[in-house]
Amino acid sequence: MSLNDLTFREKSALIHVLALAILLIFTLSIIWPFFSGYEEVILEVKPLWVAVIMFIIIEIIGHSAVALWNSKEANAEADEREKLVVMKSNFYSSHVLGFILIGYISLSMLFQIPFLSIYFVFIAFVVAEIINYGSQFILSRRGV
Amino acid sequence: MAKQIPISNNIKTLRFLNDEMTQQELAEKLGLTRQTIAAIEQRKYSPSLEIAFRIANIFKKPLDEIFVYEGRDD
Repeated sequence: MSLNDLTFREKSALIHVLALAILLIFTLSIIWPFFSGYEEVILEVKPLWVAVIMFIIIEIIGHSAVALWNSKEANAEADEREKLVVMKSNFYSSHVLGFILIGYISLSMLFQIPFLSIYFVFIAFVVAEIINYGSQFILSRRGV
Repeated sequence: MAKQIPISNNIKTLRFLNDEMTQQELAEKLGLTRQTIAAIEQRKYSPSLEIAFRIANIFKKPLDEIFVYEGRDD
């Protein structure tokens, strides 16, 4: 399988997965010192902005390049198969997101933690999106 | 491994018999993408009933001459 074999939507899904994976790794590297025993580290929200801006830049550059490569396909509307692929992927990712958030809320209630970490919610959302676009790529290639 | 739906079809043969129609030409007649036609031919996607009837109209064949159900219902 080479990049030439992939459709615009498959390439787009791969760019999303790549950008989200970088975002996830960056976010985990921000919070890692907090969990690795350095208690004096205070988590700040500011680095998240850097991560989000990096993500947007990767998305813009990646999608512009792919749209130039597959200009005809990029402007075409999604057909019934492509809509079904997106619908199924959204179904999977929403279930994962719901499961993680309900699990987190349950644990917070169990251990009496009265706040929701922005980092945790952010990571849960990024993981769900990776599943969403990863599923889109797999379903497009494997069949839906 | 590619998932195969239990409905086979002979669209590829019919395209060949109809002036060697390309996947792209058939896709344009149906308002689909070439990849969707390829997915239907490779049994990776089961088209909607509307698309199935429109394919039958294009090739002027009854539906059951184009699509054959090969699954088991027992």
